Amino acid sequence: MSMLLEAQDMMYTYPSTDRPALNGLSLAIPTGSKTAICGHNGCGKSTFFLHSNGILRPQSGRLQWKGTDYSYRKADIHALRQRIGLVFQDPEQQLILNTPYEDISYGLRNAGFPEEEIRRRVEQMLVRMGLTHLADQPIHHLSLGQKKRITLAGILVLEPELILLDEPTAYLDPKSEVQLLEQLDRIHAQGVTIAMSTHDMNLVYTWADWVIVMDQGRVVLSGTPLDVFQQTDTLMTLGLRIPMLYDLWLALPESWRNGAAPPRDMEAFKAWVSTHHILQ
Amino acid sequence: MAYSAAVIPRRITPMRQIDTISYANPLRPMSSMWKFGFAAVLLIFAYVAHPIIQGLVFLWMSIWILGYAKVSIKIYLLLLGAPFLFFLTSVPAIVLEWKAGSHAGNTDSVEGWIMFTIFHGVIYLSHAGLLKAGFLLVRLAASLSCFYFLILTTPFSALLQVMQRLKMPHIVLELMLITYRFIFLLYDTAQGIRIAQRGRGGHVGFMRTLRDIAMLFTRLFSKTMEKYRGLAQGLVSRGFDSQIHLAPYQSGSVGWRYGLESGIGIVLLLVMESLLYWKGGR
Repeated sequence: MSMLLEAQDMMYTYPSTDRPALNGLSLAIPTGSKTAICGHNGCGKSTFFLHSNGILRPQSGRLQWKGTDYSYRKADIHALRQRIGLVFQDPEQQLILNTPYEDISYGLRNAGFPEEEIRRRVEQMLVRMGLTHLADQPIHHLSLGQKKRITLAGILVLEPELILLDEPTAYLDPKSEVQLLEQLDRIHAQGVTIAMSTHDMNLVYTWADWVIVMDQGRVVLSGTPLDVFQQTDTLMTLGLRIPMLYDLWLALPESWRNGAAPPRDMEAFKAWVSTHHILQ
Repeated sequence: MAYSAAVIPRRITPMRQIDTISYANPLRPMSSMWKFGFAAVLLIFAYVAHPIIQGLVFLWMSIWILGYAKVSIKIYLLLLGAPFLFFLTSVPAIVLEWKAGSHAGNTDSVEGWIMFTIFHGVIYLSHAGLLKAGFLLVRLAASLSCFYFLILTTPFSALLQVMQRLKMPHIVLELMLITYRFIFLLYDTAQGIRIAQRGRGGHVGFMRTLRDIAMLFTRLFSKTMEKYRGLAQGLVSRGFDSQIHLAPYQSGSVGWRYGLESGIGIVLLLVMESLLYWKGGR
């Protein structure tokens, strides 16, 4: 398994605080994966994201992109930011121009694309994200879900290889959440690596294929969802919830489960129930 | 973020209304450069022409605003009303005059209506002052209507593009852009804090309301700093390099119907103004 982004022993303390935000953080995001980074508020998820985008620089330790160390030279970091897209939790933070159409074009213009290419790409992106009808609306008239979709579109239009999403489902209503996840699946199918931070363990369980659990600025667990969720005791001591479906699965008698792999989503569970003769 | 814009009920304010109308009026697709030019030409008339011409400018612009841009008359009157309040506060200084000496001989020379006599003098409404106030009112109405025509029919983003085209210094445009983005964010934040204060029993009685508002402002300052830091990070993450690149100017057409009306109208105004100038002088 090759790693797209790798952090080793990263330390970072915000100025004017005494507790380190990153405290010897070592983690890796596998190429082509859907990685979920979970942990409490203040465990260092957002700080790590700001590092991976080169906005913050580790005070010690190293960061590697495809096996080479980050270079903080202006041109290099500029190029890297095009390949690593960061979607903030609060869309207001990164929506800069006044309409979705203008805002999506912002990153492209910074990257120096010719206007014709910008227009072509933005129009394509608007169609793909289902935002055409909002293209010329002022951004402050839109809903939170729509704003999140626009920030995502503004990042995607640069065709990054890795997308980092900071709590993408926070404050979203169920419908917007489903839309967002569908979009992410489509992007992932095109070969983009996706990493999101969240504390929605149910979402982690069904969505991710690689899970990293963080606490107090370092990684506690990392691996496939099954590997990680088997460590129920560790998760409980960290105060994280066990995914409902997995918990339910564990509550079934051993003889029923009979060594079968735990279902990852409701559909798989229903399918298992319908084929299992003991329950019939 | 403790609150987000989406969960706070929005109160309709004139500012938000102007913004909404500017994005959703029938004249929006029209070339913004043309609208800018049209408003500028009429503003010159509103500034230098005779009061009659100024009155005509006001009427004509109002037709554009109410008729063509379909702005509701209630909103238009409200928008005109606010600056008129400022005008009203300056009216007394313009129309009232004081003259020393209260004996008959002296008051005869007063050109106006005597209001009352005090301190061996008279305070009176001067004819010249009234005329001046009237002229000011007409000029104010005409200038305001030109201004409102532009901001009610042209979205802010299009205005920025026009100014960019007119070689406005980039730093000014950036400041305007950021201010515009922040106004609504701050307004929503303030609204959120106010609702929270009310929900907890604040804003009752004059003194407590004052104290609550003071608290609101301090909280707003810290929130602003937070948002500022956030936006700075957001800018960097999206490849900011010392300058915010604005979208380029997008040209639109005017349409022969409006083009013709504006052309004929301006020529007529010019002719009338010249006639007035040569007949009566200024």
